[in-house]
Amino acid sequence: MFSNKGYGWKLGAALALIAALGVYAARKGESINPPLWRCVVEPRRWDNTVLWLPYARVVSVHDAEFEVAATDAKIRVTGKSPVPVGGRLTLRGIFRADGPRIELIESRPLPPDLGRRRLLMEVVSVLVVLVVIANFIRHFSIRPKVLQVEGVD
Amino acid sequence: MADLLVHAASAYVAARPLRDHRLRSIVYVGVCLPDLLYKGLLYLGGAPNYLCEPTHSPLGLLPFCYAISLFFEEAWRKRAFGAMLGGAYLHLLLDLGKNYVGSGVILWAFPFSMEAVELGWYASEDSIYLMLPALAVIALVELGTGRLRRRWPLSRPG
Repeated sequence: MFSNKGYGWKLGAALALIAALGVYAARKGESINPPLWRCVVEPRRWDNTVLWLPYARVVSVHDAEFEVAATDAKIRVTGKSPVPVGGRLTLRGIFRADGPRIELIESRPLPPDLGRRRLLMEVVSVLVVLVVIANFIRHFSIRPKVLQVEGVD
Repeated sequence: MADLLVHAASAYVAARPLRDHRLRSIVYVGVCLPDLLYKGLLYLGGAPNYLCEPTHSPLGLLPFCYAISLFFEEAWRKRAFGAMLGGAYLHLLLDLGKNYVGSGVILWAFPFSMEAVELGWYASEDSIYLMLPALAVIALVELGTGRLRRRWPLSRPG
């Protein structure tokens, strides 16, 4: 399995499997958590679908419902808003075609400094990756020519 | 990729006791691998979200690690595969604790099921609070292994 015998076939099969799994996941996943704009455009098709909005801003708040603007569309949400107007949250709920609206299952407020937090974490993560790669290169030399020669049956 | 320092600290705890520094370096690459693949496909490849999901599933990671291990010299491939997969699984374990309001984060049985699971212990945006503790853990492990090695040095032949 790890020998040089049939090296090209093994590598090709692994890459083909990776591609197939990706395409399969994309096709199956399309109907699992569709973008909000698609649900709003075709409400009947996505009726009763459980939706997760990773990021939404509260536009207005009423007694038993509130309106949120996600990155791609606006929608009413039945339930109590955990944040005031202008606040940001992530939520999960059931999309209902009548309205259309989302029936709230669970929500969590997002911190106002989310952008700065993410930026800091991304910068630190990039530094970590650079250190990890530098450490790896310290121990392994990359020699494509040797690989090509050894890879031939 | 938002919290690779925490992932790296977890790999440091797991891999630091390994005597072979080359094996350790592969575990560290492995623990970054799921996010590197995910963000690479998403941002560099312009792939849809779900196409990237196999990079965060136990079975989906197998062909990735196998393909990468084939780029090592023959004698190292099996060990490289194991170390990289171990690191990647450690990443999944830590990600499993995240909270995505119940929508799930790891497709644990992909490709046989698209069910995503999560433990909901911490919000991904709160990972920032784990950064300093992660650095402290790395320092403690470094100090601890240094002391242990001084007490029980590696016996060398000859």
